[in-house]
Amino acid sequence: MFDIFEFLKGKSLSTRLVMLVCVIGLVTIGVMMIYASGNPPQTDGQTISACNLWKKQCIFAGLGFIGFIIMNSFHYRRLGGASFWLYMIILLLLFLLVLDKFVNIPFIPVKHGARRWITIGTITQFQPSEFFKIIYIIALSWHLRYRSNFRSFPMLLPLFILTFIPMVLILFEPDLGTVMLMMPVFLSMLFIAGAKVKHLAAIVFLAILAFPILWIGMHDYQRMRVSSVLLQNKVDGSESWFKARAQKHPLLAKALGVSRQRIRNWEMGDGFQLTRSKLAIASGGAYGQGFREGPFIKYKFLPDRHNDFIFALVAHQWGFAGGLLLIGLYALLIACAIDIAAASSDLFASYTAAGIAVLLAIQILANISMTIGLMPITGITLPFVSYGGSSLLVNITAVGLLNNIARRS
Amino acid sequence: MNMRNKTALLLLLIIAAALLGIGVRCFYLQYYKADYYHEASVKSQKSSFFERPRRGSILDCRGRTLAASYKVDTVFAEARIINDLKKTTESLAAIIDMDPVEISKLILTARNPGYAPIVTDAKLTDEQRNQIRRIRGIGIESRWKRIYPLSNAAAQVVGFIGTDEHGLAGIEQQYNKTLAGSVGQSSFFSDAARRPVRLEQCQSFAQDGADIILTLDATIQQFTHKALLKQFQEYEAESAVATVLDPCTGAVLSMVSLPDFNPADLSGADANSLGNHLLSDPYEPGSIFKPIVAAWAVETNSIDPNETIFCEDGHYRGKGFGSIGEYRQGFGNLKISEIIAHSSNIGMAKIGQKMGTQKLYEGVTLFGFGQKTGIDLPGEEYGFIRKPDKWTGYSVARVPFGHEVLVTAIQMARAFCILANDGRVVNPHLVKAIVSDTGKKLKITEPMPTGGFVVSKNTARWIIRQAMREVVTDGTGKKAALDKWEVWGKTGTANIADRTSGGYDEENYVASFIGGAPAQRPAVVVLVSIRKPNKKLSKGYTGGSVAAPVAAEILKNTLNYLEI
Repeated sequence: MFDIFEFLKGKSLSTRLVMLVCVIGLVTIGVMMIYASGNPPQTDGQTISACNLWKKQCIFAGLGFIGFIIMNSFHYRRLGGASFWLYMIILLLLFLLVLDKFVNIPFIPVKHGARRWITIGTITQFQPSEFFKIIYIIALSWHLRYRSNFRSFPMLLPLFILTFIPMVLILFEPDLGTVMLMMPVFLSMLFIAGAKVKHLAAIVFLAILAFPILWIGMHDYQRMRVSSVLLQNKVDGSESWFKARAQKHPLLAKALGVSRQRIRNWEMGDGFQLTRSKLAIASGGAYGQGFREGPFIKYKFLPDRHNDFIFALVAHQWGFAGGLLLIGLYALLIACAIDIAAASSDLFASYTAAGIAVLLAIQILANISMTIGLMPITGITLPFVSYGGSSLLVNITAVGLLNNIARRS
Repeated sequence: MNMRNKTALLLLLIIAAALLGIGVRCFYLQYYKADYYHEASVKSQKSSFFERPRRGSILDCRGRTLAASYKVDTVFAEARIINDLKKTTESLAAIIDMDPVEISKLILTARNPGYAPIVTDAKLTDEQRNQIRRIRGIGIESRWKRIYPLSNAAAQVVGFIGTDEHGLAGIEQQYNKTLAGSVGQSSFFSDAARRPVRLEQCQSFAQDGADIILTLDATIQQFTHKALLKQFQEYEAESAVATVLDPCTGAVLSMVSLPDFNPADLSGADANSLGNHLLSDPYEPGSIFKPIVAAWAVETNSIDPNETIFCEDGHYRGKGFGSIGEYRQGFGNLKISEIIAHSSNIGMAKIGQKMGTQKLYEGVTLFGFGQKTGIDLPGEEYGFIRKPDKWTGYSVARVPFGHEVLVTAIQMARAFCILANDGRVVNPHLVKAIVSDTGKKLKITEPMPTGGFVVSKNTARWIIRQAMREVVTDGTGKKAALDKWEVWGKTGTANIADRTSGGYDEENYVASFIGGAPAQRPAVVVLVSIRKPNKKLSKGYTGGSVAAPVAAEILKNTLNYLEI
């Protein structure tokens, strides 16, 4: 018989409850922020008015908690057994997205020049790469549960193939952000599992060597986003050293990968979002402008404010206090996840939990850093808070998996 | 602690450190730098819009334009928001008839990414304007352009404006507030695409400036300018001034100061050309000062008009007043009118001595020397009359022929107007009326109340009809004579004080003539002063030979024009 409250049973209840409270708190903040961003109504030709986005977010949060409960209705090791097939299915979906480049597939829409979504029915759509993240962690953990699989360099190779096939597919979508996110997850999971540090260092070193090739292969806008971190004004408002120099020296501009014209127009062009995001955060001050208050709420000064840049909205409305609350909740959540990973006696479970913790941590760091100009702008969303159905569903389900692991530690 | 716990702790520490870093950065942005970013944020959202009013026109006494504003358009590109340069330039080129390559060149080489002017000061049709406004990244900026139809001829009187439309000289400066009107201002919030989202407030609407009607007559101004300029160039003078006044009202009919400048284009203008020498350049007037002292002496009964004075045959010397000579030849016995006509220094010195310091000082002051005339132009100087307790025996013998006093040309002209106006006080002025943009009269200059007499009617008429008439018929000012009218006046060839040696510069003079016509009922008073005519040209340097012919030409043209 299916028991809804199955997830409450088992060991380390207090850790799990703290974790659950953190998630509920974060989702609530997210819904509130999306609600605030829907005022005034945004009408830029979207099929669903932004006013109703918060309702959609609520529905997906509900679905996420159903996923959470389902996750607790079976032993997590059964996921490990099925991980090969799950992995194959997600690979197929990613392959379909890439295939759309050559053959037009009706249920794959193109948004902003990227193919990241698969449409189900008329309005529902999901992002395979979001599901890929969690499935990848499960599959990797299942593989890493035998030490012989990764202690020698030749045995690492299959792991790399396992990783690089989906990476290349995602890169073709294109979704550089997700790839950049998965690499640290991969490496830290190898590290946690106990791979030799010198092997890992060699890999990192190779990646650094390969960086210039990647740099040349990148699109203009991608290079510009990375360069933006250097081009933004200093905190005291003066022009950055790089921007001033790049306008005078064509070689430096070339190294940054963009034309001088674009560097000169950076503030109104490529740097517009970053500049505005920083303004939104800073103008929040210590205690913020108040819920649903402030110029960045009332006017469309900040594009993408309800998803990628939602942290800016939190900081704008609730100030430093709000930002600190958010970061505090995340820290608590990640601490719980790592505690679960450390407490589990099952290696597969332990790796999975650690992988989820790292995945969440990197997403949080990458997203908040980009809104305050510490990292390039990527499409990485803020877990639990940003608008986005697939992401929310997957993240809550992942916490469900953590809960399942903790019960049996 | 086992291996796994260590790894977990390490992981936790790394993540915690990273989160802490983010927290610090947030603190820096939100708390430490909050004020700066808050200001920048408000600034980036709020835009102000100023509606510039039309600056009032300046008109002459017959309604002809001396200065007026009209609208011109500047088409500019905001390079940083142009995405498709080719398309933008091509669509713009089709509207304004320009080579697209040329336009892209202007946009790409612009130094300011927010403002690259493409066409400046063009006159666009409404249709062109609407089409241009539809192109993203291209804007139109309208501004008022000021024109000065008389150009150089009335430059110092009308003045000019700076790039901020602020009057910087002449009437433009004096009546800047009246002419400027008030700027309309409204501020609004703009969104990410910098489209206005909402009008925040409309502080005020633009109010056009009022028009000013001058007493100046454009035609007389041009006569004056032309006649003076000819002589100014011929004699290679340093500067020259001329003015025509209506002695009954003090209305300035023309006013010229040379060298001049073009008020619409100030390149090449220097302090010498920008200044209005009539007001700003006090000088020792020399002989043109004599009729004023003579009139005052007669008025105070210090001398009798029919008296004769012995002029010492050209050498007058004595204890306490030094040595005084004549300009050319010496004279024997001269009647008072002959002293004026032949411009005898010794005669005037003796008149001064008869009067005494106190009376002489009183008279000079009553005629308005040492004080501003109050003409409605900026930059007027006081001149300088020494206080009587500082006068010496030298002074009382020298002030009567225009030494040891510093006067401005406008003060001289005013004093002669008083004589021509039967001794009644007149105040020189330029503004006849001010009319608001809706046609309402704001100010009309009323005629002076005829209260104060400086000298009596008889004295004034005697000095004009007798003494100064003789200057033109028999004396030094014969070149000012006209057939049709009885011209009266006085010549002057004044030494220029040499500041370095303390004496007088023997090479440089100010050649002047002040007079008017007709003698029986003076209709106009003319002053001409030419500073430093080049003596080396051997064409003459005296008031009678340099200034008098100019005065004659101005008088002839003016009286013909006024049909007197």
